Amino acid sequence: MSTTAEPGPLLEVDDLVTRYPVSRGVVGTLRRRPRLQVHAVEGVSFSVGPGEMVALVGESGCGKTSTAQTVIRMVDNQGGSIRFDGRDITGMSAGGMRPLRREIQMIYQDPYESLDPRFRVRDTIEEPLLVHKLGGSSKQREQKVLEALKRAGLTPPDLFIDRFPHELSGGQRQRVAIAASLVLDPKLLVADEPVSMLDVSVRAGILSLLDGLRREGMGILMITHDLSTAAHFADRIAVMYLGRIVEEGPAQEVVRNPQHPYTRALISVVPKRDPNEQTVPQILTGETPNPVHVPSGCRFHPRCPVAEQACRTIDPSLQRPNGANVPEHRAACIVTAPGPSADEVGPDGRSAGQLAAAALRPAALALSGWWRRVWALVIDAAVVLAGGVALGGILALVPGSLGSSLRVGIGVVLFSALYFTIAHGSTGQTLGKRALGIAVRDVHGSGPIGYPRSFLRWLAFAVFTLLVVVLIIDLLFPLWDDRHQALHDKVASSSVFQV
Amino acid sequence: MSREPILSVEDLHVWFDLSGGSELHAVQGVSFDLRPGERMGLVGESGCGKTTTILAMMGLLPSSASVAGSVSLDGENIMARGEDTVSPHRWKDIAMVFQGAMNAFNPVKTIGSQIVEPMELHGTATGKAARGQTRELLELVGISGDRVNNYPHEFSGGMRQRAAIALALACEPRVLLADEPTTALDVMVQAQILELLVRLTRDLGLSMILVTHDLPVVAQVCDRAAVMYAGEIVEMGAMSTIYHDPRHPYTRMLFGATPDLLGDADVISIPGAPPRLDREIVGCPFAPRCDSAFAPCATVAPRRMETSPGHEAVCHLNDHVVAKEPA
Repeated sequence: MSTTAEPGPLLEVDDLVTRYPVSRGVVGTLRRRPRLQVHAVEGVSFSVGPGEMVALVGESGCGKTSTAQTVIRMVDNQGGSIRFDGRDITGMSAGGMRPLRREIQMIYQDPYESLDPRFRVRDTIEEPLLVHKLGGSSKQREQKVLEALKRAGLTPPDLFIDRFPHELSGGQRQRVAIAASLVLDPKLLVADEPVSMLDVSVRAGILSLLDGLRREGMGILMITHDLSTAAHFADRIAVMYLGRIVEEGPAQEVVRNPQHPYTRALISVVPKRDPNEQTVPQILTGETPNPVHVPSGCRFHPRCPVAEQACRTIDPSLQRPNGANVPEHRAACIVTAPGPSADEVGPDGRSAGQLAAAALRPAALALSGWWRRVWALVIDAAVVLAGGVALGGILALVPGSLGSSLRVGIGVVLFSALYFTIAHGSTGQTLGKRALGIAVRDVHGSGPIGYPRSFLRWLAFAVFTLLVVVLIIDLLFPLWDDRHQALHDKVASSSVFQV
Repeated sequence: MSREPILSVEDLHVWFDLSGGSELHAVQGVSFDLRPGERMGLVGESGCGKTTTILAMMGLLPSSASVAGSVSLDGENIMARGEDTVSPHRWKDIAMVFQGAMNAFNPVKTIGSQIVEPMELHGTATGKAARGQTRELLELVGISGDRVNNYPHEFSGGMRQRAAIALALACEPRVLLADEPTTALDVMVQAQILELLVRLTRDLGLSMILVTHDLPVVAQVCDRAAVMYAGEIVEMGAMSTIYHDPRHPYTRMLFGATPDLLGDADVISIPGAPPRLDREIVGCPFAPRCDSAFAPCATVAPRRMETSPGHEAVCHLNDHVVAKEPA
């Protein structure tokens, strides 16, 4: 299966992070809406060795194409490193990348669009040679073109070399695209859904072609949504969900002995060829959440059939699962692959607010609908009261003519005003909303819930003011009582004396 | 299976006029029956005529097409007088989920108003009643009725596909034609949609024709399958018979070219390409690509043979088998 030579892997990706900013627009910027990001790839690590085919499998939006584009440096990464053939290419300039580009080639999904319709097959395949100033004389170049065509299975090559793309079938076009990358003799081929646009009857031919290239020692990173294809042709499979690899291992092991609940569900819904062999599909509700608002803890937990309380807060790392048959099999799930988790929510640079929000979240999950909003209000009220009393306490230390309880009241009002203004201005989220927002953003695929921007915000403010008033009255009553009593006593005693 | 067919297609032919005076014979004598509550798969490569077949049944082909043959609904030939006889049944009796329907909603009208439209057009419901039914329809396909006033962009891909199915069900048809309903969808969403289609046929007693290039999808959903090649149904029968005992090499090779998740067998593509349909085909259209072709295949067109009850194939290999059987 694996003909991996002794030297290290061709491609090593470590903790890769790729994010795309979401445009806020002028209005959004002026209204200081939060700066959002698409978390396309969040800490992905894998390697591709020579003579190895690795398949990144996942649904659309899981970050598999972003990973491929980052690996070939078409998109800049925000974190992590990419090493190719022992060299770190993460921050390499476009000029520095140029000689490497001939060693990393990409095949695109749609051969109907990736070929220039006005280029003959000869021109399409010759172009990379011209770009990289390779191939010598035009005679030598033609020789290389013919060889590449032969290698790509377009034989006899003379029959195809002068055709235009419209004179070729889909499978033949994809072979031309492959020939155009083979002409540079790359070490690594990145194939993004190489067969999904092709007819079933010709898919196997293209995949066998890639398999042959792999046997010759080429490393291949294949991006696909089709588990059956990956199971048949890849050495290793990495299953991605929302920017993370959730399970990886040897292809047959992952497919026959899946450990992560997402992989299990994915495999159960793949239709089988044999009508009598259909398994009961384990259909997950909803769709992959928006990668702008990634769920907290394990990102799969809102759709997971076996999620536990802890899954809401613990972001699992890849571990060897209990049920694994081979040591290279790893899954990121605290239920099926428990182990020392390094990524547990903890003091790893998270703010106290995030920690507090995470701690409050389980309680929020037990509630629904409006009650969640009420719960958010309760959390915010608790924060405001605690902070306000603390502020009031500090105010009370300042000498002055106002009573100390009044100062506490003022502290609460001041603190709540600050809390809401700052929260809305910067992130648009209060602690209460943060505790909820992430938890509520589940199968409905909606964004984080919060108070609607204007009206409820003021309503919430009014409620807090009311709370503050209650607090003040509550604090002042005993004093009033005392004073009243004292006054009464005074009046009573004086009147007694006077009458 | 003993019940009378609800829909019966007989010797359907479709020709397209090409510029330059030639004709493309896209559908070449397709015949099949569809029984109430039955789910039938129509499978084949692109260009084999599967979509043309069902568009012809709906009377929706462009004017460059000429159609011959009959499509009978409850015994009445709805093709008899063209548009006049088809239109009373379109959407009311036979409705369709078009290929890419999920992306064909009008972006500036709400989903609800687009589902109400066929109801009012066909007079099955109007005004408040129609809007009430729309909510029910959305609930039926698994979308909250409160989203009736949403615009298409507010729906995800899977939800738009559900809405497209609701749109097809607007006038309570008895036959649903679904053209590649899951092709652009992710596996998990595909599973949701397929489950929905199975549930609808079961609960509403709908008959369905599922057009797809994906054999495993048909294997999962359909009772019966018809495999099309070069405008013809080359093999038709119960799904399990077709898989376990294919009587046409194309069916066998198509299964062989489809990777199976847990299968061990090598996946082998079918060499060559389908024949051009703007020229007359001599002999068996599949012969040049066939791994079992023998002498007569190149010259004599094979006949349709019933190899077992309810299972038919068009291949010379069966001439032999059938010729032997009576003896």
